[in-house]
Amino acid sequence: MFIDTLGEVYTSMSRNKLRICLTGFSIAWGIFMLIVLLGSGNGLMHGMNDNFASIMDSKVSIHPGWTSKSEGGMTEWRRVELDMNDAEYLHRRFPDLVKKVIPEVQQSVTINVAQNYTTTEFQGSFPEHIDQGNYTVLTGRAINDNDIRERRKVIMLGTETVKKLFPDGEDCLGKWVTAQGLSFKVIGTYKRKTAVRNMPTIMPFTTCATIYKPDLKLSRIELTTQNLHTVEENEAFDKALREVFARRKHFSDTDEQAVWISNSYEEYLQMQKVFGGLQYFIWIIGIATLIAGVMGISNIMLITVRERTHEFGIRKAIGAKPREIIRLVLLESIAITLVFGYIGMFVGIGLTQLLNTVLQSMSDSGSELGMAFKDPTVDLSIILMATAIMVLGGVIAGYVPAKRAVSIKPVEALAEQ
Amino acid sequence: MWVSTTKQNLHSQGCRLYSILNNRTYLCAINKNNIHKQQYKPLHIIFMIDLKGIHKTYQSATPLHVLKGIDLHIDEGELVSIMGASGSGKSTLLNILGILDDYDEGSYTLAGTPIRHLSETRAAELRNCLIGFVFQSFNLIGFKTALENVALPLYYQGVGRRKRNEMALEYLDMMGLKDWHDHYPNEMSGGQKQRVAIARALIANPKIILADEPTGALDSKTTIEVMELLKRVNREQGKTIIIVTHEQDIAQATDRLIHIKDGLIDSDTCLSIP
Repeated sequence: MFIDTLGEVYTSMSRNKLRICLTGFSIAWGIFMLIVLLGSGNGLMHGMNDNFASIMDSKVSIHPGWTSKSEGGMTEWRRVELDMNDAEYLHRRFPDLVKKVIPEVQQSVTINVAQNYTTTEFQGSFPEHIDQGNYTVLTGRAINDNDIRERRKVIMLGTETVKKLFPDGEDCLGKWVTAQGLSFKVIGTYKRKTAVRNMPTIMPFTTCATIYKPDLKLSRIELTTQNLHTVEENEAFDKALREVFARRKHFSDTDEQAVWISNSYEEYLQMQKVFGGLQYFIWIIGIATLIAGVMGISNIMLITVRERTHEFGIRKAIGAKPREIIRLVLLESIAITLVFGYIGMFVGIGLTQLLNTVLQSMSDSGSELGMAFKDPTVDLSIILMATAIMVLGGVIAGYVPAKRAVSIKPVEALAEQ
Repeated sequence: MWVSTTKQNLHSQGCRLYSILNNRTYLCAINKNNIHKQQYKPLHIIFMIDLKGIHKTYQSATPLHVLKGIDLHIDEGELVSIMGASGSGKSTLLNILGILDDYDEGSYTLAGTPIRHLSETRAAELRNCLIGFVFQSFNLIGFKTALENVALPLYYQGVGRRKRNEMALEYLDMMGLKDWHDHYPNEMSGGQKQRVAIARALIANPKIILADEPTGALDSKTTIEVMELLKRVNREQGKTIIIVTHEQDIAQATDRLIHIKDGLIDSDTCLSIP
């Protein structure tokens, strides 16, 4: 019986092709917009997730600062220094919460290759840092344990720095870079996943510390945390950290500026909130567009029902029950929304896939846009959701026309010509 | 009340004897072959159509009282024509008989089923299984083939496609239109269309056929054909047929003629008694 009804719906639709296509376009457009917008939202989110991969991995980074309050008889505006002891202490102090402690030293230098000069930041790093951080090795290799142990004078250059030092595009691997009288061998190049401008030149932590920071004053300590799952836990951990440093460095534990503690978890949550909001916004726009489409379908169904009044009268006379008439109208309305909805959906998905391919190739060639915007596609759940919305839209669009179709008495319907 | 008493008439009426006893109608069904045995076996008979004091007013700025108390009994197997001037109420009466319209006062029983304040769903069910309609303008669905049109009442009974198409073909064959089954109504002549409509009216095996000016759109030759067809259906299948017409010839071809005038039955004559 259902197949028969579908046959009837098909016949009815094929009798008014042009009209239905013109109306259906609005539904197709609505779904197309919804898919493309949601895809773009996803692309932005994926790009961000990727760029802030380090943030997403629940990290806490600690920068030294200046005291802003006097404490224990000492004046404000003292420099707070972080050293290796602090790093080790943190590991001992929070064995359950701190998975890894990565100290970092930095030094601003001017480097040159022949007549090509540039300023950069030497960053003393450990291999784990490069593994976990947002660096992708492009050519050559990364810093390894031997480099650390032997304090090798080797460096990894960021793509930006490579461009400045080797403007002719020659291969930089194995070349020597001079930094104020010292020579460093280029062992690799990297790009940052983040579209951030400053790209430090990475060298072994031990090398950097030996040459530039013999007192081992750290520019940053990065902690990888674990077992912290809620905002409250993270806030408590941040507070505990501050208290530890306050005690060790003799500053007030309410002094926000003595050490800078930034916990990525809160940023992560904040970002999630922003993207959640963005998604809501997109759904609202998409559904508003769809409502316009649904109105159009409803309108066209009203006309169809009006045109078919006499036919419905005949059907009623020979025994069609109201619910069969309603089913006929509703199914047609749903069929129109589904057919055109899927057309819009496939075109939308096609476009997002195409965009994805283009972005991927852009990303591979190191373009920043390609990195900020990644995989702008929608997943199955959205497709199912959109289908549900289309069916619902079809029912809404068909409801009033169907009601009208059954409300006319058979006698009046038969009299209509 | 119209009573047939003679043996001849009894014969022509498909071997039915009607009598009135204590204001009730009793039926003695006698087999055609052993009519001489005179097996009188009184039964309480239910009229096929039983109208009592039917009133119908169309509500508008000036209410129109169309039917002013119609009393009418029609038995199973009768071939009845209803005549009347336009505005006399004959179409309204037919609509009420066909459960296409409701009435205001009185009672209407169709094949033992009281028809009053029915839901549209129930009305549709009853129309589907009790009534076959034949209209002046054929009322075939234009985008369906003759076969599909004939099969439609079965579709609404939930009969499967194969079965209903088989039956539809059978009924079209009965109407001599087997070769036209895949033609659309606009490819057929008026007579053919009306025969398709009659096939559609018959396919659900209804108790009564209501024909509203069935020959109104036909020429005289096809009019005769269609009337012959209806009479054949009446004779051979014993279907109760009610024809609304304004043509005297058509009315004369039926067994019983009811005249309606100003919303009341003016005359009710049996035509088949010589």
